Amino acid sequence: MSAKVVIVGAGPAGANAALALARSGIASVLLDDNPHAGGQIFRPREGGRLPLLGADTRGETLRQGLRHHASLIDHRSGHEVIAVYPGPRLWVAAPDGAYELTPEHLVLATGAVEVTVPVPGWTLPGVYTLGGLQILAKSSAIVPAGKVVLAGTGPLLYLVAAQLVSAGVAVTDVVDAAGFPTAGQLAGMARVPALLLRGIGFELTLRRHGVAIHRRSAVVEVVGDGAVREVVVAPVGDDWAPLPGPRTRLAAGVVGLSFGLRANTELTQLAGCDHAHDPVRGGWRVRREADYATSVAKVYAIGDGAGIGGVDTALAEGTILGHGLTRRLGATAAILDAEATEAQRQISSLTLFRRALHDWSGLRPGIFSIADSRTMVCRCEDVTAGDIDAALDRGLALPRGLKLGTRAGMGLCQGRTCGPAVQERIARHSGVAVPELPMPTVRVPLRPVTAAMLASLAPKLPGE
Amino acid sequence: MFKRLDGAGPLVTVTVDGQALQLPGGMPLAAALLHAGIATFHRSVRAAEPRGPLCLMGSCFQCVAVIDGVANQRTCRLPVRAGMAIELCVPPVPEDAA
Repeated sequence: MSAKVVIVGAGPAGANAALALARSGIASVLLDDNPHAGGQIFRPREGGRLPLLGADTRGETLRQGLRHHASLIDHRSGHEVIAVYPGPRLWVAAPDGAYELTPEHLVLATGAVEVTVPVPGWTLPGVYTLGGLQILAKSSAIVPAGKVVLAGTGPLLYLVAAQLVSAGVAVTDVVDAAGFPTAGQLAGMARVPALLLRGIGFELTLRRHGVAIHRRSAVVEVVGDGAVREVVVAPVGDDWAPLPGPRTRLAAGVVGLSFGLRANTELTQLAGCDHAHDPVRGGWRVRREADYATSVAKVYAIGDGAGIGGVDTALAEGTILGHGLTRRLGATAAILDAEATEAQRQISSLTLFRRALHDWSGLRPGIFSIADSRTMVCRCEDVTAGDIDAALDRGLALPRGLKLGTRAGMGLCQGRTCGPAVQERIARHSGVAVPELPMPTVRVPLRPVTAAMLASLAPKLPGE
Repeated sequence: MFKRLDGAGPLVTVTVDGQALQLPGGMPLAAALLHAGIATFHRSVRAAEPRGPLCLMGSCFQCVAVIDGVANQRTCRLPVRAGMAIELCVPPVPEDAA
C-alpha cells in the first residue's frame, strides 16, 4: 500500500500535523492505536456526563477537524505500528489483520510514557499510575471508592489530585518528591502565565478540600496482603533519596504512583534515528533538526514522543511540521505562514516554562534507591533489583547481556515500564551516568501478534 | 473499591472464569472489572504474585487476560461486548511458592 505521508499517532501533535497538511490540500494516513483521536490528554468520555475539573475542549475541536477533512485525512483508529524497517517500511496491526505501508514521508508522533519508580509493594493490585487513575475517571467515570493517596511528582500529580477530590473522591494525602517551587522556578513558570495559574488553581483546590500535601517526601513502601492497605511515607533529600528519620503511615485502598513523563522512543529507535539524553525533555529523545527532521531521511518526529514538552508544544509542533512538510512537497504553504510563526513564538515561551518545570519536578536519581533487593523492577518477568545487581556483578555486557541474562525488559511490555529503573540501576552500579550508557534496545514486534498476522505480512514469492 | 460517577449504562452479560457477570457494554474491560470489584487480573510469571492493571493506557501489559481464547489481551483496550469469555489467569498459588 502506498501513501505519500503517514503520520503515526493521532494525539495533539500528529492530528494537528494532519490538519495543517490537509489545509494545504495534502493527503495523509493517520494511524493511531486508540479508539478515538486526541491522544491520552484529549481522551473523550465514553458517554459520561460529568466533566472533570479543567476539562479541555481542544480535543473535540481536533476530532471535528479530522472529520471535516476526512477526504484528505485517512484516520485509522485501532491500528498499531508493530515494526519499522528502513525505507521507511511500516508493519501495522489492525483489528482485521496486518498490512505494510511504505510512505514517502513518515511523521512519528508517538507521545509519552509515564515514568514509574519501583518501591517495595508497588506490584500490589490497587497501585495505579497517576495517568491510569485519571483515565479511569476521564473516560469511564470510574473513581476510587475509598481512601486514596497520590504520590510521585510533577504537574500530573496535582492535576489528578484536584480532579479526583473535586469529583468527591477521598484523596487524603498528596506525596511529592519535589519541594515547594522556589521564587526563581515560579518566575520561570510565569513565562506561560496561564499554565502557572492553572497549577496554582490545583493547589488551592487541594487546600480547600483539606488534602495534606507532603513535600520533599516519597512513598517508600506500599503495604498490604493481596491488596493495598497502607503506604509508608518518608522525607527525601536533595537528590530524592529517602532520609533516615520518622516514617508516616497512611491508610489507603488505592494508590496513584508515577513520576512524570518520558518520550515513547520505540518507533524513532526502530527507524534508526539518532537519540540523545535530555533530562529537561524527559530523558532519551530523538535528535532533530529545526524542521523536526531526524537523522534518517524523510523521517520526522514531533510532540511528546520527540521529547516531553506538553500539549501546547505538541500542538505547535504539529502546525510547524505541517507547514514545513507542505513546502518540501512543493505545495504552497501560504495558508499556514502566519500560524507557523505564531506556533514558533509559543514554543519559545513554553521552552522557558519547561526548563523551570524540570528544575522544580524533574526526576532525581536518589528516588531509585527506595527499591530494596527484593523489589520487583521488571514486573512482566518478575526480575528484582537484587537479580539485576547480581547480573551486573557478574559483568554481563550492557545493555544486551543484562537483558538476556535477567530477562528484565523482555516481557510483554518490552521494557516500557522498567526501562528507566534498569538504567538507573546500571548507572548506580557502574558509576557511568545514564546519558553515557547505551540506550535501552527495542525489538520487533512491538506488541504481541498472532502467527496468522505475521504470516499475512510475509513477502510474496514471485508468481504467487 | 471503585465507584461510578454517572449512571450505569446498559449492562451486558459476559463470563469471567466461567461465571456469568453483568458489565456495562462498551466500557473498557479493565475499568468494568475494577468497578465490579475485581482488582487481581493474573498472577505473575515467576513469583505468582497477584497483579492487576497499572497504566490503563495500553503500555504496561499488567491487565492482560485470555479473551475468547486469545491470550495476552490488554483488557484496558477492549470494550466490553455481550458474550465475551474472560479468563483471568489467576491459578491457585503452587504450594512451593506460597
